[in-house]
Amino acid sequence: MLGRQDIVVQTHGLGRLSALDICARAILLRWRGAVFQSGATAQVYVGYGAILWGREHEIFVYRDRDALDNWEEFEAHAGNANTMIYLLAYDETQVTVVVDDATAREMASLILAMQRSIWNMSTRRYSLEKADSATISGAISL
Amino acid sequence: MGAYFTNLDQDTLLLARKLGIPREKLEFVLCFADVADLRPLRGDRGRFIFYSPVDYGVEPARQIDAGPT
Repeated sequence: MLGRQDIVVQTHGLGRLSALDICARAILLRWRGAVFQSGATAQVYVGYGAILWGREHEIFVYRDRDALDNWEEFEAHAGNANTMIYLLAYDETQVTVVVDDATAREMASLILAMQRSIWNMSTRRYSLEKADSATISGAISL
Repeated sequence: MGAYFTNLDQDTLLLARKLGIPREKLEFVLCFADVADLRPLRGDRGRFIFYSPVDYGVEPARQIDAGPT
């Protein structure tokens, strides 16, 4: 039996890298001590600012250093459930969020936070684009 | 329930974590020739995880390797 659950989150035109970044920051707001690890190289990033976003398609986000150590030692087991979120973004239109139990309160809340953050950023960008085109139209009509 | 499979190599970094399985489930491997009848998992893990919704038989002619990893 395969472990974990895959939640597909639409990027709403933001693209995969922006959406991945937004998801990571949404998690960081809840898990202040979160630790990030590259899915490609297994490199552990010391701090969010160290992540090499341009080359990452997959990121593991651990709740804290203890969670990372636990996963490194034991891999998946009941004792570390919901202490790591696996983010994948190969497609410009979606991010996949992999968790142990999407119905667990904290996981459901984190998934909702990621979806809302992407949606809010998307609508903000759309509003700015509309404002820009309105300014350009105004300039042309002058 | 069904059965799940991966096309990732045994040496893939963080393999158990990517598949979401305990370490002990990596102790044995069965390699077989694909005939494109498995379904990809929904989302980006569908690039490397495939499943059959029912028990999946592999006839001897398709079996490539089996045993401890």
